[in-house]
Amino acid sequence: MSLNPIGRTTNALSRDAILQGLFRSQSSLLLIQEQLAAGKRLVRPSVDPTGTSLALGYRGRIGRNEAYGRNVADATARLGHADAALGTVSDLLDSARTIALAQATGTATAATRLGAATEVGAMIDQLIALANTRFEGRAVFGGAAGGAPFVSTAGGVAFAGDLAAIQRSFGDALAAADNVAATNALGATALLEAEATGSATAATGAGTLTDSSFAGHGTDAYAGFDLVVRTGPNAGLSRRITAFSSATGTFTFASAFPAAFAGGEGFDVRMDLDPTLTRGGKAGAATAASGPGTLVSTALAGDGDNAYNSLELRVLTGANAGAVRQVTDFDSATGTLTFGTPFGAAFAAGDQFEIRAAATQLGQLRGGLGVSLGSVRVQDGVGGPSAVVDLSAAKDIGDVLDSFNNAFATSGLPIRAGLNAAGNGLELTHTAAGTIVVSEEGGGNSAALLGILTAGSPLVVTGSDLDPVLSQGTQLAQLRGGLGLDKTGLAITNGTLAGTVSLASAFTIEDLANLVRGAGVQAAVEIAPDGRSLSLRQILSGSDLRVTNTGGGETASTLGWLDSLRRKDAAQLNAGSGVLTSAGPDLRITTKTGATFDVDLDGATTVAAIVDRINTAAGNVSLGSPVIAFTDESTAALVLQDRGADGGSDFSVTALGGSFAADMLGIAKTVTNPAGVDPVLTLTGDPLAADGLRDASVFTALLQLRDALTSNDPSRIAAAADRIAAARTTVLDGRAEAGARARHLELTKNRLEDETVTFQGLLSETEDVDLAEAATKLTQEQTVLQASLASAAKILQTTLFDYLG
Amino acid sequence: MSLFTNLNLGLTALTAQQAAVQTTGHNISNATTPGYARQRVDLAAIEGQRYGNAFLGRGVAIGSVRRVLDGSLEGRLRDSTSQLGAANTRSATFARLEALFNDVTGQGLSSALDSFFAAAETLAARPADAAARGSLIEEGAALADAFRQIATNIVADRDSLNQQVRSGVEEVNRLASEIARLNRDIVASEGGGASPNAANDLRDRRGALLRELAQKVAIRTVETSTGAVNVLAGSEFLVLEGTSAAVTTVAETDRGSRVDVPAFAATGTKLALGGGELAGLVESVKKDLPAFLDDLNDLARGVIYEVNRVQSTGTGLVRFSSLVSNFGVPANAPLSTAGAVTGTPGGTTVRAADLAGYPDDTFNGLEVVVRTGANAGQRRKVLDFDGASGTMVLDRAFDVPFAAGDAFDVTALPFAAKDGSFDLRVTNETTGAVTTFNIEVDLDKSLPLPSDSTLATIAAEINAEAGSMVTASVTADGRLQITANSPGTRFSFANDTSAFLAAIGMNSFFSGRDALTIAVDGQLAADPARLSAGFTNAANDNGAAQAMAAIRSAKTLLGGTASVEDYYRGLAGALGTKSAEASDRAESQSYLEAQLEAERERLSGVNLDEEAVNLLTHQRAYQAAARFIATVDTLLDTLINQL
Repeated sequence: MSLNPIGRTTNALSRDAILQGLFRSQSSLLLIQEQLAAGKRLVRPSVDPTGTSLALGYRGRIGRNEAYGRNVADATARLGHADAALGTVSDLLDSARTIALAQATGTATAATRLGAATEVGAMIDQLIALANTRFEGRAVFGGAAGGAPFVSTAGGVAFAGDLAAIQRSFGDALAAADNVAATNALGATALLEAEATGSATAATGAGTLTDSSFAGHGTDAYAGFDLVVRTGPNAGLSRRITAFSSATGTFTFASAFPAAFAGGEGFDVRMDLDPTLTRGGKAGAATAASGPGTLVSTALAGDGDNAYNSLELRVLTGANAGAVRQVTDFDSATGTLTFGTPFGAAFAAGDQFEIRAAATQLGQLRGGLGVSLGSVRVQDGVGGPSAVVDLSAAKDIGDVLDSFNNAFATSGLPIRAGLNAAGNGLELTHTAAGTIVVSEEGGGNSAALLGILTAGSPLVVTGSDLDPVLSQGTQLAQLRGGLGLDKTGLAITNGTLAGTVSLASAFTIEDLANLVRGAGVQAAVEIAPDGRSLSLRQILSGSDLRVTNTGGGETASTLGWLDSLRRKDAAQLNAGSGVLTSAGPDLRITTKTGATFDVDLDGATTVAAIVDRINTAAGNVSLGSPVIAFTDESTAALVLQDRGADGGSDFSVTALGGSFAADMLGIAKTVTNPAGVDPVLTLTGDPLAADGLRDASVFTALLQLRDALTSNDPSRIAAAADRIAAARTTVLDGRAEAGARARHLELTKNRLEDETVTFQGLLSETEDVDLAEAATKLTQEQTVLQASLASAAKILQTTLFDYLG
Repeated sequence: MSLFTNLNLGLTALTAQQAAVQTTGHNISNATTPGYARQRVDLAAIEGQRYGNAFLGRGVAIGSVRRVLDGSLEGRLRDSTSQLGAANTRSATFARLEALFNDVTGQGLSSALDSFFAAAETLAARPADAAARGSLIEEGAALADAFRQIATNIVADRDSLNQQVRSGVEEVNRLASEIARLNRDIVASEGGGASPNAANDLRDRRGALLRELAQKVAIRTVETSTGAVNVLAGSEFLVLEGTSAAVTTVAETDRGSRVDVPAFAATGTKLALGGGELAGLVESVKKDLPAFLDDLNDLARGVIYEVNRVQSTGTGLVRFSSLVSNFGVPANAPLSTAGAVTGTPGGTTVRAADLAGYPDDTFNGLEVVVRTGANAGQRRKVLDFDGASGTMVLDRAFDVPFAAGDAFDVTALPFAAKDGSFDLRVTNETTGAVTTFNIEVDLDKSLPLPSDSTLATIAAEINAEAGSMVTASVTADGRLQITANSPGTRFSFANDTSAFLAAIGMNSFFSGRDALTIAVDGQLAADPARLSAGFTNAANDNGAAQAMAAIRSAKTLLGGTASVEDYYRGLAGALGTKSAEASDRAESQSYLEAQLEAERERLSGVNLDEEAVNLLTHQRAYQAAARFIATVDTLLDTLINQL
């Protein structure tokens, strides 16, 4: 007998074979049954691992799309709600305008106007309710703020909301706002922007410029800013202002303009607050005794030369506790801070201090464009040892300085990194009288972006101006390249509200904003969108906002918020009636010589523009013409001066072509030419009543109408009707914005639905059981099982013993 | 030559056929006995008697009763049984893991994640709504429960597998001592090899026990000349002649989990586990379960960290008058220090040149958290630090040695923090004025060392800058505590670029540090107004809710290559693949086993038909032999009565 007798089949073998077959059929049947019961092919990941992963992916996509779909539905409803509210607002405005037009006519009487005023008063309440419309707990025009955004207070309507866009996700990496800002929808709030414009009121040399209307703005209020000439031979040129005389309103420049000023040249002071760079605040303690003019803290050593320059330091403990001084120099080698004005007492070791300021973020550089950094190579002289400085993780100027100094320390280069003396760029200094080469590394442009790419191999690399913009944490002392902001304070009036804000306790812009907010005058400090200046937001509708200096200070001047006739819109004049011009020249000016020139004021929307128009028309700039125009801020009047030769004629302004402009500007006058020699004739206009800053909101329009009706003044009623028309346009624009968003959402909704259907199809294909297939399989397996069972019964029955006698 | 001789000859035939019938009967009786090898009677003609020139046969003799058996096939069968045991055990482990993870049917971790992020989207629509806040917190709790449930089940499974290892070892001991006893009996029965087939049935019994033993643990067998079988597991004797070696379990710790490993009781040598159920169990406990748990922990940690980073840097409807961090760290040690391995370290000693310069013992008691390389994600405690060379002594060596350049952090924080800063925003609740204090988290290793922030320096910086409004301190157990100085003052946080707040657990959404400990922060659960929906004090600011919802698809895991969703999909796919692989292996192994079993059955199994034929044959032979005796008897009768 062979050892491997193929063909020998034992009873146990056939039993095992049958059983194995049965088990297999049964387990297949079980899986099919499980799949049929669950309706899913993928009852366990192991059934199809790839399919499982895919199915989870599809399900995730469907889940996300469902969430996005809900967001779309919610946002659409929200925008619809806003649109409906604005529709009602628009209707209200229409009725108000009808009332205004009816009451502006001669048939109306004081009594009917009084009655209409009551009606308008009710409309205002209705308007406030509409503006406070909520959808699902959120006011549709309130931005991110909670509570009711519009509150009737102080004779006006205050905006307690904010202008945040509430972002919602409508797809992967697709987010959009689901609200319309109150400014866009209702015209709420207005912005007092930093601004200082003028025109030369006297002939000066090329190194100075005088505008008498700037007199009293405060000593050195404008030092550190640039002055840009708008008209005349120096037009378009700018110079840094080094000094400003408040007594005469005279600017002195760092370098002279090409041409002398004759008088009449228009100019702007560019209100760029230009903060210095800083590595941010620090708290610490003096590590050694020092005189009152310096403070030594070794913990600051290595932070970079000049890194704390221009920041204000407050002493927390010791003899100088509570005192504040500005740092004028920082020596990184020893950790010594030097102060512009010495403290009252000497420092003892252990005296604690703090500097509170936010580090200049890299995103603030280059006028807010920011820089994205890679690596830079710094070499100790041409061909010398070098260090590669990786700046990719740096987020602020402190990180940049530390990265440089760490790399230099690690590589043993005798070079130190700090800030330049102007505080607006970096500086690399060789500590052993060698030269420095800075080059780009890895094909980037980091050295150029940081302004330290060297052409040759200088002893000191003084980086160029990195032009940082403002942040909430910027110290006021950092402004104007370290000249800082006068902290005497601001006097703010807003309608019936008035407050004086002292900035003595303020360190940062955030502190300034908190103090202004705390003054309760319904005005809020904001950083202008370009990050270069501060703005004051008027948040009380129907009220006039004005800002002036206080206590002989210059805070308002330096911030560019100073109330002046020049900055008014022409429409603000004459209690909101504006200045009506006619087509063609509006007024004619006759000089002492009898010569005349005409001035066209069409399109001159501000008082400054009107002054410029007159000055330009006078041709004085190029010809050395005798007539100049300027504003007298003390009386809020326009002033024209004829400084020319005496021809015996009177100096006069007359209206042309039926224009009301000369009258409305209060300058339709004649100055009699006195006998004898009088070199200068001055035509002083009537004082111009001008509103402060008002918003163009629906509330202001109706409040104005109500007040005009109450005071029975037809011309103001007519002006209010115009304002209502303008406000209605704003509301229509707001509705258009909401409508456009809703349409966009509709498209998104369709896309999401299409996608979801596609993914559901894919998911179903992947994970759902194919019933036809499963049923067929089930039948198949059942047949197999039955056959196996039948044959097993037969096979196991038969044995030879059955047949043995 | 005599007639009486012929009678005797007939007798031998009768005896032989009787024996053959008996053996056939024995085979038939044992047709279904497991491990039984059919027996055959070897018959041999008795040597002839010389009669003149002829040789006359003298009948038949019973040579031996032999088992029909292939020794090498038995060995292969045992090996296969061992492999099948291991494969079945692992396949069962994966089947249980798959059951834990019942996501393909739509209710599991994946749907919990889905609901959580959907709730964040809802909160983004209604940031100030109490119901939306409560719902996100509820969904967070459900997500935490889902994580914890899976993790707890894995740990429970691990414990039960360890229990199975212990009972498996008892079984091995029982089998080994039984085999040793059979060895003694066989040697005695067979007279030490004198009569090799004397103990056929004892041998069958022993063979069956060897199969059983092989199912538990892979063995090799050597049969001695005396008939005893020595059993080796690896290179150690489990059974030597008539004695067996006792086996017990020793507890090991592998990646933080307890593993019971079989070892010889006498020597303590670990049992070599080349196969068998024990190998499968140990493999499951050591590798399969921890690997899955590790992945699950990574996912849970990713969710905790990312959600907490948003929560900690956002603002709720209420701000804090007092807050204590969830985690504590040594107050005076650098919070987190990045380093990279220098040279090839051996064992527990790791040198990092970039840590040289710190004072001796700076990092003692902190943990090394590996960031890159083969050990990424692992943690070891630093027992000692030498500042001159930057050398650390760790509490335990890594499984795979460090490679030069592998990056790590030395920290006591449960999550990563990096160089950056955060804003402490103090709100005067009466006026609404917000004062921002920027707190530096300095972790850039500026020279001279040590220059980096510690918890104590951060508390000191808060006090120096904002001391007039809030007070910061470090509690006895190393937690950061911040308290507002006056009742109308509240504080919150913003712009945390360092992730310090999330790492130490200040104002967190989830507490805990992995899938086993994840839970919604108790204080948040108690006061849903704490939930950060926005980044500013404005009640309807939804920035943070948006940011939380965005975590779902942000690539934050696996070094910024996978989102939470991607990672989860990968996890499910990998589990499915591994499970399918394990069950495929078990299935193919069972085919092989069946094949070998069939081969053995073909050779050694009992075929009743064959036995029936044999029975008939022997019956006929017996009848013929009887007829022969009768014939001889007739002859004798003739001779005696005729004479």
